[in-house]
Amino acid sequence: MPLPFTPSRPLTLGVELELQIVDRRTLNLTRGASDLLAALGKREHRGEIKPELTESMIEIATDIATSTGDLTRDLAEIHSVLLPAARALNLGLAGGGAHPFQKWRERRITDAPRYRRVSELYGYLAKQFTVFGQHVHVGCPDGDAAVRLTQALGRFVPHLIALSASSPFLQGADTAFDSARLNAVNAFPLSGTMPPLPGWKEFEAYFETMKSYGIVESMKDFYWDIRPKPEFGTVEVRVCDTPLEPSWAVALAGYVQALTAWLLEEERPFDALGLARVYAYNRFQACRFGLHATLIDPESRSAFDLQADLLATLERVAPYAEKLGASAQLARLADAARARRNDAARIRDEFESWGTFADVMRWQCASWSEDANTLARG
Amino acid sequence: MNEFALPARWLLAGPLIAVGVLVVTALLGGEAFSRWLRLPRIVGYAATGIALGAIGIVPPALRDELRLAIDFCMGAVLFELGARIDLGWLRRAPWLAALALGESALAGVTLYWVLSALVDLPPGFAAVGAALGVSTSPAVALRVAQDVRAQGQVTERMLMLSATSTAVTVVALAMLLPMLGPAQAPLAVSATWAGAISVALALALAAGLAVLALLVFQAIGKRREAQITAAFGAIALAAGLAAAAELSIPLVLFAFGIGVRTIDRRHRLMPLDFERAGQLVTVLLFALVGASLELGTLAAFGFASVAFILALAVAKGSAVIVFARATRQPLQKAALLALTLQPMSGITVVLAQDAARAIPALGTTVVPVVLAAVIAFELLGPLCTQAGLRLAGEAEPLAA
Repeated sequence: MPLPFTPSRPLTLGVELELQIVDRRTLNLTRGASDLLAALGKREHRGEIKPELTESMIEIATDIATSTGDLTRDLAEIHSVLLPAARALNLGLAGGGAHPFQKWRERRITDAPRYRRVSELYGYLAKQFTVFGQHVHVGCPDGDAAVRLTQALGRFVPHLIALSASSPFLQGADTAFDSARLNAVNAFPLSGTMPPLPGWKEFEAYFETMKSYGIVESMKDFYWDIRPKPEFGTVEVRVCDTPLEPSWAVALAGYVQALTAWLLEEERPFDALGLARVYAYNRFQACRFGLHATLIDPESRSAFDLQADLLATLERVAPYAEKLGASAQLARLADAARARRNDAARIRDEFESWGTFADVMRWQCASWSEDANTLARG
Repeated sequence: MNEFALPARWLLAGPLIAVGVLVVTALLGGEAFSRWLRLPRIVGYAATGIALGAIGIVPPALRDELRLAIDFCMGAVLFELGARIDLGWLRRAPWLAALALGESALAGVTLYWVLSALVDLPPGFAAVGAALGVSTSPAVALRVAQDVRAQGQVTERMLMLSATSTAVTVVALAMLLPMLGPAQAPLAVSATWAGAISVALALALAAGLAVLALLVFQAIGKRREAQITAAFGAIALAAGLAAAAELSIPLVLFAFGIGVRTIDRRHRLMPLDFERAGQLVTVLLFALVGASLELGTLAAFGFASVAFILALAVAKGSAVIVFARATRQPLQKAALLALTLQPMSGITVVLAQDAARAIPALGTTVVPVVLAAVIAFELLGPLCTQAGLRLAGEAEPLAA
């Protein structure tokens, strides 16, 4: 088999979060990842702390978790190591999908062969890609289920975008978007969605074809919103902005897990072609208007309110969430949906009251570390 | 004045002509050094200044008038560094505070030993020389870091250690000089107390100015350019008041910078990186100080100066390396940090000249040793700093 799918325990979870590394004085992004990793040395902890494309980003990843409770425990432990190290180096760590006033040309590409290659190939796009996302992995029993889930979850991408959106400001200006981060992803030639395929065998054939063209080398070269990850046996949801608080990242993962449980169990038929037709439009609506977005239903050919659809879906998957122990997380998401208040709205409010982007970033750093410390206290 | 001097009558007509010629020539010199030799611009400023000084562009009669400009520029550099320093970092990272203390102490003690035991100077004079040597040049640290757009731990620690070591130098001199000099105590107390009192008065003045400046910044609002303009006004005022009160100008300005940042709990102050304005200040400072050096001092360059330079390098280097583990810094980075800490510069020259003015005996003993070392450091120091930042991977990559 050219691309074997390693089965994993269904509904297991893993979360990756890209964090901003800022100078505590200027609150601008700074070159800090390699110093931070050197300071951490070989300290033992759950999960992973890794470099990312540019030196102002650091990625944290949980171990394989069976519940949101496990995710919380892992994130708490990672932060119990990471935050003191950052403090000792006078660096700030923050959530948020994009830095509000950094200039992309000032970014430094991380010194590693893969990143240098990406930078050479994509030119300025690589530095522009200093944006910060949350990836959620969810375990799948087999390749066919992974292909089906990758497409079925597409229907709910606008929910996840609207709930996580935290990048309203870019390069010193209000973008009018709730998530401007995803626009940075769109520029890459292999972004977008997986083509509508019936099963794993067809996916392998597609991958082989793309490889034979020389367009891709590995699954890492697909920048899709949702992609199968055969070596982990998971489907990876990549549309979320890194939220302002780690506990919100756990809540979003809880929603992905409950959705997956529902979709795997009830195997509803869905119109892959219709979904593909409206996908980009609905995704744009969610990025632009967040919890105020209006989406298009390809079947009924009518517009509907994202907020109402999200609340109805949260209710629909509530029994699954309860079984998985994620009810409290989903209730928190529902509260935010009802108030139509995501992180982008909170960031705009802070800017309104402070008046400078630097002050907003100081608040973002404080929000991240306070919430992380709360996780640790349980 | 020698026969080859530039038209001296013109220059004597006003210090502005000399300043103008110095600034433009030094700037061109800096560009030439940067473009063709790939050396830090600051080396070009200093070299041009020294060269123009050597051909007599600054007639001795003008030196006192140019002092005003030098005081202002030095004040601006010290204020900028002070306002950049985050004292909270020393609190959050006690090992860094220990390194700062250890580095200054080791440098001071080693230099004192070299000057008293090897060069055979009287204890008071050796102490002045040691105090002068402790400071890592704030102007070089700030400007080279900005010039190569350095970011990272070596850069941040270099700036922090430059600030802490300069604080030690400035305070130590403010204490020592009144003790050594003819008793001119401002409040007619014993000379021993005079130093402490003058330091306390300088700090009080700085604190008062910091409170005042924050009120001004609040009134201006968060507009960076306006805040920088206001800061330059405040720097002139602070330097003027310090001079009028016969307090140490560097101490007042440095404490003013630190104070304004430290008491700004509500973040009314924008990051005051002078950058463009800072370039003018640096060109002026290095060109003027370079031109004011009397090359006669180079004659003092000999065993004493070499011993001074080596002692300083060994002391600063070993302190940083000994503390590497505790400060969570890989050994290689620690060695590069030690390299960046080498420069002495214009501010040391000014302080040394002040010391010589206050106590003429210093001017014939320890000051020439220090000044000769500074000339070497002015030209080589920025190279060390730039190399350290580049090798640490913290400078902006050169365009391919």
